[in-house]
Amino acid sequence: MDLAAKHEPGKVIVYMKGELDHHAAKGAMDYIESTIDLHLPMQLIVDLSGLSFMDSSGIGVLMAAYRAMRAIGGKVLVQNAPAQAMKVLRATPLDAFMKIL
Amino acid sequence: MKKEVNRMSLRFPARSSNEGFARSAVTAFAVQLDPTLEELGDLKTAVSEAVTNCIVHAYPDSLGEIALTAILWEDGVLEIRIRDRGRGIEDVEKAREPLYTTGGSERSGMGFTIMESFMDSLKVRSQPGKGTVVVMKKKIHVKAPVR
Repeated sequence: MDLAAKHEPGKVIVYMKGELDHHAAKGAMDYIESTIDLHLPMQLIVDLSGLSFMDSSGIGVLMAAYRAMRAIGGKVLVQNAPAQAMKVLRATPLDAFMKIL
Repeated sequence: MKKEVNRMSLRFPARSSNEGFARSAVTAFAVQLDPTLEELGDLKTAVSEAVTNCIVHAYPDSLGEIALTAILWEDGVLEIRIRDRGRGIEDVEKAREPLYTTGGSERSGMGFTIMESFMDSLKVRSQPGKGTVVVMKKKIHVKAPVR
């Protein structure tokens, strides 16, 4: 899958494109963690608009992002999830940890 | 006794690069039922969870094999069986609890929960040291004819 980041004052938006499954998860986690380390944002926004598929491995990636942001006192927001990804997000208690728009 | 309309079987190594292949194979097979996009998404997701479980848990020390079978029944039910001959699950009931995982911190423990919510039924049979089989079913609804 493809990953890109946009840095704005105080926040970073990570764009995910492709299929977020177990095979892609480590690469996605490594990318998010190094992006957080680089910019130390107060808010990490994960934009899922480019995802053609996500399963619970994606939940694992988002929880890893939550832990990395919590360690620096920041928060995670998830936005623009397509229907299939949103159905997976809503099947879990993830919204107890981050806003899902 | 209800009749089988069609079936397919695949065997492939428990490699993570085969997760997408398994999803595509089941999607391609299910298309003959004219499912909605949501139904296709549900099937893909459930298959992805079951295959990922085999890859992550079944064969910790070797590259084993996954057997995937899809059966289309005459009542429109699609049955998917995913089997491995790996290490098996000690406590299936515990494994099916939401958020429970024997994997690392990168695992969410939601695989079985998602299979249960996205399919109509889920059965898991396992024997430690022998392997695990997951059987999931989903009725694909016949749409009303377009007037």
